[in-house]
Amino acid sequence: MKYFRPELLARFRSANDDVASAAAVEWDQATTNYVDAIHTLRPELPLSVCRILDHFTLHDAQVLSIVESRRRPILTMLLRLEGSKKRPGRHLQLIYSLAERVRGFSLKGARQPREEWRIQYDEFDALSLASPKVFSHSMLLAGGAEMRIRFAKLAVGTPRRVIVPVVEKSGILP
Amino acid sequence: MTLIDSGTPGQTPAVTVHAAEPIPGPDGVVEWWGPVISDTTAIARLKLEKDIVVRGPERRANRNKARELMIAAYNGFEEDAPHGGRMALPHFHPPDHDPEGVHAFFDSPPRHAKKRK
Repeated sequence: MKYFRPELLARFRSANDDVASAAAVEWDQATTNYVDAIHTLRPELPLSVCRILDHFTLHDAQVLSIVESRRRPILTMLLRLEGSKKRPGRHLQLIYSLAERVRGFSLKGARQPREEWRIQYDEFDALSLASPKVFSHSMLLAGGAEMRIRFAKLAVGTPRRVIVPVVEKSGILP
Repeated sequence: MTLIDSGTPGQTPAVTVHAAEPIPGPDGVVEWWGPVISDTTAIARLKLEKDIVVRGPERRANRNKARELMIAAYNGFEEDAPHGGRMALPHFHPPDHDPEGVHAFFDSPPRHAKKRK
């Protein structure tokens, strides 16, 4: 994570009011910097990324599955956006065309308990604007792990219905 | 009433608690409406899995009140910073986000909840 760094979040949550207040100022600056950076990058970003930025927030979305194709450099992620009793969260399917087969997907951190596969913050960035363009999508998970996906293209789907009966036992998650 | 008089130096500044709701979308806008609600009403609202916002001029006082109310409702809390939107507010969730989608938001000037029209 370039802007919403885990150590900054830890200070934001400090029980010490002075530490937390100082971190809140830094967090606001990080938000401004990220929004400005995305605004500058926007003409270069894939339309699908702009669609996510314009219509969805991944904050507190639950990662339901991550599937990496065997033959093609495709990674598919299924999310459920934050919801409530009154308004259940929508599902979002992100299909990345990975930029690099080997280094296209990385996860820093130990195996996560199921509850901690929740996205706290995410960032898009451009790694290369020369052809072929390479972008990144970084996610900070609730348990502290960071996931980073390097991709060339991204497709976004909003499934009508999703059934995920036993994903935690399927061996799909790393 | 949750209003605390801030007239005397050294006292906790005024905070008010209101019913609130996040508006879906990337900006993270939180809207509030109606009169000031009591602590009892705020806690009951959280237990009904509805949201509240603590408003006031000082982040520290707002944060402490929002945390206190979430603890009273769920015996614990998880704190989150505002997400990427410029209008988003920091907030507390119940422990382990159980139940999901329950927020005690708080004003963190210059970030403020917006009054519903």
